[in-house]
Amino acid sequence: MNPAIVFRDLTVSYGHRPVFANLTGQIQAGSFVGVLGPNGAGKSTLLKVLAGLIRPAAGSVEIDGRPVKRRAESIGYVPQAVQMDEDVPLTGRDLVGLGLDGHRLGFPLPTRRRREAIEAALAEVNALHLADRRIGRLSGGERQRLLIAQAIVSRPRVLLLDEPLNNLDLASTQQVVELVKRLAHEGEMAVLLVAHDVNPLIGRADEILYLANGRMAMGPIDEVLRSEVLSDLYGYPVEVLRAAGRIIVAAGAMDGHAHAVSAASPEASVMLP
Amino acid sequence: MTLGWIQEALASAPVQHALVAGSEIAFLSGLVGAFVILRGQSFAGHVLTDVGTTGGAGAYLVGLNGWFGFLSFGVIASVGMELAGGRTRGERDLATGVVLSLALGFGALFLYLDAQLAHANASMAVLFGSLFTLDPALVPWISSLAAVCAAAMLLIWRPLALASVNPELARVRGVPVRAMSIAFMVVLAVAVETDALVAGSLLATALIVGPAAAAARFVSNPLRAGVAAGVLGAAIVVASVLLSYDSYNWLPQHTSWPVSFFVAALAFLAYVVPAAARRFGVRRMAEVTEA
Repeated sequence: MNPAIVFRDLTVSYGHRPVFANLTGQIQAGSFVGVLGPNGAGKSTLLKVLAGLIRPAAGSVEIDGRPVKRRAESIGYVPQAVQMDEDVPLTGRDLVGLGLDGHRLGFPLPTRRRREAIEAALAEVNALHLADRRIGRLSGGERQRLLIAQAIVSRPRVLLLDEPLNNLDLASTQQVVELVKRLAHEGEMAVLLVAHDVNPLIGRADEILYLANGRMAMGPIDEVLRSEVLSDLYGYPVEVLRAAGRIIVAAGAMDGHAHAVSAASPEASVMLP
Repeated sequence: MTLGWIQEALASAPVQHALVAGSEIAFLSGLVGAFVILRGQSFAGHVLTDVGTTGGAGAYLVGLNGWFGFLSFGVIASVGMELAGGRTRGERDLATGVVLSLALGFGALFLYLDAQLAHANASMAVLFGSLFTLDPALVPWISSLAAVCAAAMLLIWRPLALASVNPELARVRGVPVRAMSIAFMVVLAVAVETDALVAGSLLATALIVGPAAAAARFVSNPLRAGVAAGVLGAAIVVASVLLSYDSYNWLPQHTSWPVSFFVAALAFLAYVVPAAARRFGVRRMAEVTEA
């Protein structure tokens, strides 16, 4: 089987602060990978390196066996859900069309092929009924599905989603994750989705890529989210708790307090005495 | 009622110049305005008018035509805002606000010195516009600059729109996002600063925001909304010039009302009347359904 993404010895630093070093891995076509880790671990940075938007200090990225380059139609990119004014003059159809030929100058030729490609992408995200609605008047989840249609309309081999679940309610979150899973499996795309919380990915993502402390661990959720693996990654004791089908990652900190969050990373958003 | 006064108006050279230069720049302004809405950059438009005030007032002080002052300060400020701004919109607005107060400080100084030393009328021209006293030699320059900018917008509107809604995907597809932003800001500066000649620097954004906001209510594609706004803006300027010409006879004292007043008033009406009509229409339809 031919991996869609191969990265070797990736090292990135901002100024003197190293973000991560010597990351090596590969992602198969048709595989849905969740990218997790604490804030500042370099999740979004890794995505941008894979997209060719950030040049790593060392290492290489290959998409379909070729070095990643600018003007890549084989990569789709979905950003965080953004707020838009209601009257912004842009419909769902316009938004998706920009994913097809938005990098070209002048006017799009209104060909049948263009129209069909846009309709097909809209249909894949169950958003045909949103085609003529303005994007500013849609809910966050609806807008996010349109951004996914925009990213896949050019039939990319690789789909990168940078925190697409932020600002979404629970129902929309599950809808988007289900959609992404289906696109990966049926569309034979390699999909990386950056998330804060592992829980919406349980039972849906094939693997997770956990970034912490400049290093990574990759594999099925149950193999990576284990105390031994995460403790080794962080370099200090980390507990993984499972309760009512949810996963909570908790770190025993040096001051004797335990930090816990449901976001599957030991950040101190909840302090336990 | 006779429309002879319109023929009389059209025969006058200052009116001709005002109509040609004014409607061309109004078209560009409407076109740009739709993308100002798409990019959420109306704050930048206001900054450019304020910085332009300083440039326009400074130009009169050294004996240049106000347009060159408006334009040079506006273009420098637009590129500066893009280059110096922080990564987030909030940071950028903050940096802009600080530079803006400095520019306005100098604007106040220049306007004062204008009144004291150079032209008694300069501050009126800078703040409220000078379309009827336009230097005829400038008309071809304004026309060609507006045409070049409008052509550039029609050429880059797709990458510009993609860069506005999804900058990362734009960069993946090879769009030079930064260059797009700078190019757009320069075109915005040209539009705003030339509007300052039409409506004065106080009201220069009326032609950017008003027609585009009105058009965006009815047209949902950015380019079509821009073209519709441009046509609407040009119509507003033509009507304003003619009304200003005719207003000479409205008061017994015989004095023309400023073009900028009519521009602002008509832009407001263009925005408000359709909304009111729509609301009224909806209510009537509701009554019909009830009956």
